[in-house]
Amino acid sequence: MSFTTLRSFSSKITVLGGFGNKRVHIRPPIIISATNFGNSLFLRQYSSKKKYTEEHEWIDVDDDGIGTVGITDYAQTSLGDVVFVEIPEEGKFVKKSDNIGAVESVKAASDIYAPVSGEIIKSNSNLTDKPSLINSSPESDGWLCKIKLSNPDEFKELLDKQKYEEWCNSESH
Amino acid sequence: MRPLFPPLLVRNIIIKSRTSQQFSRFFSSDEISSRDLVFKCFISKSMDPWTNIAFEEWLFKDTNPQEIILFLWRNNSCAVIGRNQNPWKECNVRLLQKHDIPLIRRKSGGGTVFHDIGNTNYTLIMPRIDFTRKHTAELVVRALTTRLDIPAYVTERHDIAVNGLKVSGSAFKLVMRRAYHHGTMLIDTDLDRIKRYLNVERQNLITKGVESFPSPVTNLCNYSSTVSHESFCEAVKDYFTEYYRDYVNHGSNKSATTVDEEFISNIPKVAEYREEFKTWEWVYGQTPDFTHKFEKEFEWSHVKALFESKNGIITAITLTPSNIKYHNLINALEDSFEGRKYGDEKDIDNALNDVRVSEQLSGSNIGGTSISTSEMQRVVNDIGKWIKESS
Repeated sequence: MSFTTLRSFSSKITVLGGFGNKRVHIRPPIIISATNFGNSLFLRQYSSKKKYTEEHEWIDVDDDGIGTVGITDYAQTSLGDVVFVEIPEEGKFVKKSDNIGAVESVKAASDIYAPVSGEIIKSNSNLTDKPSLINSSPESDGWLCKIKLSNPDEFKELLDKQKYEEWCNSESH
Repeated sequence: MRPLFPPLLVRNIIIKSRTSQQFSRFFSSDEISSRDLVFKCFISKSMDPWTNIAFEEWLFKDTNPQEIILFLWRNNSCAVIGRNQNPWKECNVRLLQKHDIPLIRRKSGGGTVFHDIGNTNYTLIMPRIDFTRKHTAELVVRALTTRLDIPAYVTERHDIAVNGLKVSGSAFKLVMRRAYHHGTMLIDTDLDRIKRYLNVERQNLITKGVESFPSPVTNLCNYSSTVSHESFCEAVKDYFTEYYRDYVNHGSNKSATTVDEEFISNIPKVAEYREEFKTWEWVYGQTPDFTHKFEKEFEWSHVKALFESKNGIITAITLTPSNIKYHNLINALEDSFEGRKYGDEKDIDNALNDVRVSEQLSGSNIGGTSISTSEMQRVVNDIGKWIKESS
């Protein structure tokens, strides 16, 4: 089986906050305090709810500022059959890009990184018994953890779906 | 077997093919100028496994991610388990300890291997963007076939084999910017010792994580009368240096850097990593959750044991004696074992001693079924010896 490369930071593509499409551009800028959880404005802030990282993690943020994190379908395809998941530690405060867990697939141990800063409030313990959930349902039942965002601005800077797809395309040639 | 990827040796010049997308990355001139890759080679003179694995970790974590690094090394006898494996399931931990053979948990995935000085290890560290599971093994195979005339090939599991028998096992590690592929190469290893230390019957040890995939193995010396650690290192170094010659720094660094204890002593981080690799928390504490069941017929009772462990710590233990007379003593033993390190002789002794002391104080007659001190000692000793033997 060939392992499609998982590209990382070394890329030359510059990502400017992920506001790549016009629809987002015409929206007025939303300025909001980072601690305004539960505020109705907060809902608007996460209007583009699901975002992605260049390391192939996804994060889906709900109205309370809690983000569900996992690895993308593209990533699970590249990794191959996942046989073990070291799930993130609940209660831990992490910074964006911190190593929060690991997966093993076809003799490769790969680190997983936090897409945003915050507190890990829940880990998906189902992955301990069934690591293959990452392959069968990477963007749903195979979620890794839930993070309570401490800096919502970081979320805005992530890739939207279109930018992420462009990123994946740029990797595969 | 389809031909290996395209770079072909014609009149000693490598024709760089662009048919393979993966490898064209290495050759595009745009990439060279913009990425500024540098190829380096290190060969270790140290045979201390902890030192070598710590040095490898340093190369991976603390050098420039734009460097492509080949590291060649061999170890005195040691057993090496994959990152997510259970040492008690994979090796005869007790026998390794008895013979003073180090047990090492590496950072990469995959299964358990046994090293001795008849086995040479290769590591290729590269930018993650360039990583594929096949790449390094294919280069090593080219070195074996072209320089040492050994008909080796890459298997479906990304191992290297000759004549249907495995000579080299592979494992990989991927982090944000970098990746490495490292592998063993059986040159003249004592294959019987591998079996002795790695064959364990632990059907009742049920573990999460990764189990090894045993394959029939052979040594390269069966296919070449000239192959040795030195000739293998030379062949691999030469082949890789030629392959990456565009990245060899202005021709100034064409020969490999020799790594010895003195060289390493100048890098404090290596000593730090070495200590981390040696900690109980890494070697045993990193073990995925497992349960272990065993039973034994003693003169005084039949006893069943069930251990549950998380991070190498006993989280629960159930001892079930057929003779009800020992119920209270057994309960005390169970309580005493909880929270101790699984399989750790010192911790087992401590657990037993705590029970001896408290039982002597209480006179061993809780619940009315009193047993004599000598009887208590005997049960505690028997259980202790049995748990040590079984874990």
